[in-house]
Amino acid sequence: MKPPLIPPTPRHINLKPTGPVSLLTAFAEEQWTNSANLAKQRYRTTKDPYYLAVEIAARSQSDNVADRNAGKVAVESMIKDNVTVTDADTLDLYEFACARTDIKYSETIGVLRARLVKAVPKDQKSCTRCFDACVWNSDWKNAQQLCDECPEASKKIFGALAKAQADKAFDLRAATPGNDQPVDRPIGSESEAWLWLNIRISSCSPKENLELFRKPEFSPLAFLKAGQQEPYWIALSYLQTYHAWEDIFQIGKEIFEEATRIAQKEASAIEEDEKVISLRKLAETEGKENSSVKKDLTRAIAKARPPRSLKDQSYISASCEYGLFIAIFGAAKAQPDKKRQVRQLVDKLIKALTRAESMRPIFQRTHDILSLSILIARGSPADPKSDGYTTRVANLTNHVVQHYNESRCVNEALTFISELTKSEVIAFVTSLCATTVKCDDILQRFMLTSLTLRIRYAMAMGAVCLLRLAGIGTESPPMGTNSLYYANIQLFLQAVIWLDSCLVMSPSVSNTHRLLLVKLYLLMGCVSRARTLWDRFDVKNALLDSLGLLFIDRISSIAPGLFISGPSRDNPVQPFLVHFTRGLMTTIPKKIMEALEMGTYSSIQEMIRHAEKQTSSCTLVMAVVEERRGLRMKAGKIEVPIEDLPLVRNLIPGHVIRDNTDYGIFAVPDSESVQSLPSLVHYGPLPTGGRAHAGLIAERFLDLVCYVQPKEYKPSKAGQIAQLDWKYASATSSHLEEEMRGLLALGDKGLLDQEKVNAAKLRDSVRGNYTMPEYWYYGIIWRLANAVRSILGHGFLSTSTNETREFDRFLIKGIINNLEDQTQDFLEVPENIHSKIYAFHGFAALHAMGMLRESILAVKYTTNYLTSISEKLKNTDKARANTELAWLAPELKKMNAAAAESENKIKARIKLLKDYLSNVDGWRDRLCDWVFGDYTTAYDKDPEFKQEVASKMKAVIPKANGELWADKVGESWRELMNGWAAVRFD
Amino acid sequence: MASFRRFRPDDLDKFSKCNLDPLTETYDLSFYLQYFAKWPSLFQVAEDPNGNIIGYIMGKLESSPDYFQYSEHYLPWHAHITALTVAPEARRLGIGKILTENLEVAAEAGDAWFVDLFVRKSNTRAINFYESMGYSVYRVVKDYYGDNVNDPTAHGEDAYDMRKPMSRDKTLKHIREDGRNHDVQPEDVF
Repeated sequence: MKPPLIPPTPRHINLKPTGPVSLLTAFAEEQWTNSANLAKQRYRTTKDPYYLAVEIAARSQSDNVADRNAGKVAVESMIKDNVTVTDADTLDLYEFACARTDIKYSETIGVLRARLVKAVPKDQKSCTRCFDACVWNSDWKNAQQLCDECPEASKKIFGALAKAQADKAFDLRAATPGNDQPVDRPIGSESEAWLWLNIRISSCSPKENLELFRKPEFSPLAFLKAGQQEPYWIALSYLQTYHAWEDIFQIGKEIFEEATRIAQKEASAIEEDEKVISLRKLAETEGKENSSVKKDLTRAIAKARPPRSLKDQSYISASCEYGLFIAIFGAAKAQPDKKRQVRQLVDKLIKALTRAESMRPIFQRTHDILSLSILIARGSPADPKSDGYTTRVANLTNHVVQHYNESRCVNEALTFISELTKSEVIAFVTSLCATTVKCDDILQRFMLTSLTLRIRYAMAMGAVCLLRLAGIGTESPPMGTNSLYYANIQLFLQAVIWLDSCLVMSPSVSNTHRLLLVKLYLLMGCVSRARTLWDRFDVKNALLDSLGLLFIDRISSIAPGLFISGPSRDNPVQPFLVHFTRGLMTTIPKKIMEALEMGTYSSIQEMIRHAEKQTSSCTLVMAVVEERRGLRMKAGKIEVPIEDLPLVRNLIPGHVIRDNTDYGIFAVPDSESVQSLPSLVHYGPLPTGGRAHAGLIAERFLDLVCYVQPKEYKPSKAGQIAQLDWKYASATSSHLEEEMRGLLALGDKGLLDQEKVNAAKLRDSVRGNYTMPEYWYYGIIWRLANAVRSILGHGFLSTSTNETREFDRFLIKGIINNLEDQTQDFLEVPENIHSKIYAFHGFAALHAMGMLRESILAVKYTTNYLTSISEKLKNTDKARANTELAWLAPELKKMNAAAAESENKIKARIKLLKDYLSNVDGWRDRLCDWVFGDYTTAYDKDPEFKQEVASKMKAVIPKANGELWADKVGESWRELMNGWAAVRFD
Repeated sequence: MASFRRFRPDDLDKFSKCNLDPLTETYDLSFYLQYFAKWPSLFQVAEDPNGNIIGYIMGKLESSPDYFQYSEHYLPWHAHITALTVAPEARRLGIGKILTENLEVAAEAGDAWFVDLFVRKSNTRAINFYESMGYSVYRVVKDYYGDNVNDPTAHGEDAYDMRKPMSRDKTLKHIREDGRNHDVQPEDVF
């Protein structure tokens, strides 16, 4: 299920200038209480409903729940009583009044807007304002009503009506203009045709659409002839989706033949041009190096080329498109008898384009690559026992040698290499080396040598290879913190120093290289070093959604210092929140209105789609959760609840949240048999919608237990109000418990045996989305919610029994056990950590410390909450409190004691690591020793290999560079621990 | 291998190959959506087979505002190239040329008199590229760029305002042979 779009920023309100100056001033200065009082007085004297709306709008800005909902209540009653507001200013005020509440615009304010337009259709200014307001609030139903003033009944057939209207307009394309009678407006622009196609595709069956696209006037070619490239592509892609191969073949055939004809015609004109003839002769005699002749010739050819009509240009462009190639090759694959014909058509076209000097490098390259892929796919792979020199290898070698001076060459080669067998890969590299040696041209020899090295480097994946050898990602860490748990730390550090040295020596390394280093530094807790490298990418604004999580995921639990020092607006996730808030609440509604004004309807649809994508983005949710965790590290509790954050307040677990990260930035080809590079180097499992939801549920639970009633709130019927509060808290915690249980696939009570097996399988797969510390944390939140629900139900809202008390004790025991186990996991040092490098584990396990701290806080907040409501019960019903709550206080004490115990462990760890960094002599030597020293033991796998790698690293990386690196790492850890030292636990 | 098509907002999530290049600026969402909302046919992308955007061009169709109409610097209805970028790994394949040609087709369809653009005077590669496509310098905008890449101590760098006539300009009245000799100030430029 898609989450609802985030409501837009409330539109700015200006009061009518005819009102009293005091009111205008108070409203403009946002003195809401004063404004409400002044408006109330004005309404009393004038009886003008406008001032009643002003009063409600001002009251609605209050934090008092009743006042805040005043607008919503007023609007709902107007809908119910069939009231029509005929003043657009008044409606604007009601819209403003409802902006902070969850209302369905299309069923409330939108309806009032539609009523206004029907009541005063001649008041064009008001009508336009109402239309704009509906568009701003994505109320397309009422916006359409306002446009067409269609009757109520037609709302139901809105979709069909839109389609019929669009069809009618499309049919009118050919209608002769100049008729005196007013006719409906035909579809004319490309944008309108695009919109029409989208309506057709979404509202008609494939059979109907395919039949339509087969008619000459609706064929993709009809769009192409009209120069409407996008509709042509939409229709062609549709045919491809539904495997209409014969249609695609016919369309492709016509495009290739027509493009060949156009190119041949152009070629003849060029070849007959006298200036071209003489310049070509001159070029032949003077040699191709003469650039001025070359330039003159290019100009003369351009001049001699007959001007292309829109249709000709469209055909030539379409004929060179990769998309058409793929489509027609697909058609030929499905219809083997057409293969030969396709080949002939393409060859003919290439010949004609080359003759007309219209051949484009990208088209030539597309053709070469597709031909090569066919050759490689057709060729038989090498026999495992053979030397690997197959035709496929020969073809690939020829391709690389031919294109050695082009930047894409390495990537293309790597794509094909992934299809070769191991012996073929060896043969390919050997054959490339042999060709290089034979080269006479020094530049070519140099380039080919470089290419061979780059290909070898990429195949071995350099540092990635070391990482894999280090064992990262080979096993999922059962109780660890990140993929370093089972890794060989020395090989890991060697990979890091190697990548870092390359970066120092050649700062213009690839983005993949730099990103890899960022991720590795995050894994080992060198966050400031990672941030320095990350900042060079300058990931900001429109790139935040697609790349941001590569840095900020889990950052608050690793480096709370990023949130603690400096003002809150400087924390690393603030730009994300600004980006999403501005983009979704202002930019998109604004741009949709601009597109409507410009008549670019296709843009509107795409922008709405993009808004939907952003609304359900993991980046958005993670940014909110990370910020709240980070701020809690700094200030303890958070004042603003999730319910007050429009970006996430409407998200529920049923809504699908997606990871929009662009992993294409890791431009290293992965083998299917191993864990992908992005997940290998990410701090724990990659982002998922489930994890995002779990984060939000935990925040909602913390909001519940942290809520403190304002001191000035002193209700007259305190006991009754307290009961209502507890009912609300019980229902909320019950709801949160249920949601978290669902997300973590916990609990199998009442299930049959087979169902229990399935549930366990599901639980294991769900567990794979979390780090172990996260899983502990969300588990504790689930247990806490369950306990709050049960304790409220059995002590506060109804009388408890021995049984219920026993059950609640059992729940509390579960919480304490969970916390103790989490603490134990945090303290455990993995077996792979050599005694000399225990400290490294401490820096790499900071995420576990961060999540443990979150668990401690959750336990503390819950006990505080239960203690405070126990006090309330004592104040309102002492007798009952004495009998009901005597058992609870000692249990809460136990919970607090467990939290304090875990807190001490964290504090001790922080102190230990800080002391380690500041007290140990010869820090630099120690770190270098970790990297270059011999730490192999008799039980190691491949000790010789490890010794060889260490000695080679020592030989390759200058000592000074190694020491400098060690200094940077130490400094980064020091900075990190300073941040941790400032973390609050209350 | 690349496909050429119009930009879609979701392409922003696939911009990394282009925009992580230090010379390509990443703007706020509203900047891209403004072009997409108003001039979708002038915002074109090149997409590789994996869906990555490996090049894009952004342009607009406009004239100077009315209050400029009596100024000698008034610009009639024309297309303007705001940004053109190709990912480093996809350069030298003619992608920039195809994107520019596609924008010119859209400019023709929009009945523009010409297509224009600004380029740093020192960016000879870009100037040669545009000249090879039929653009010529129309005027020099003094100190147009705030910085000077060749001399950080100097004032801003000059820009060339380059133009290519569209078929509407049959007499080439909006083109100058000696544009490099015509200097204007940044405030004269719309």
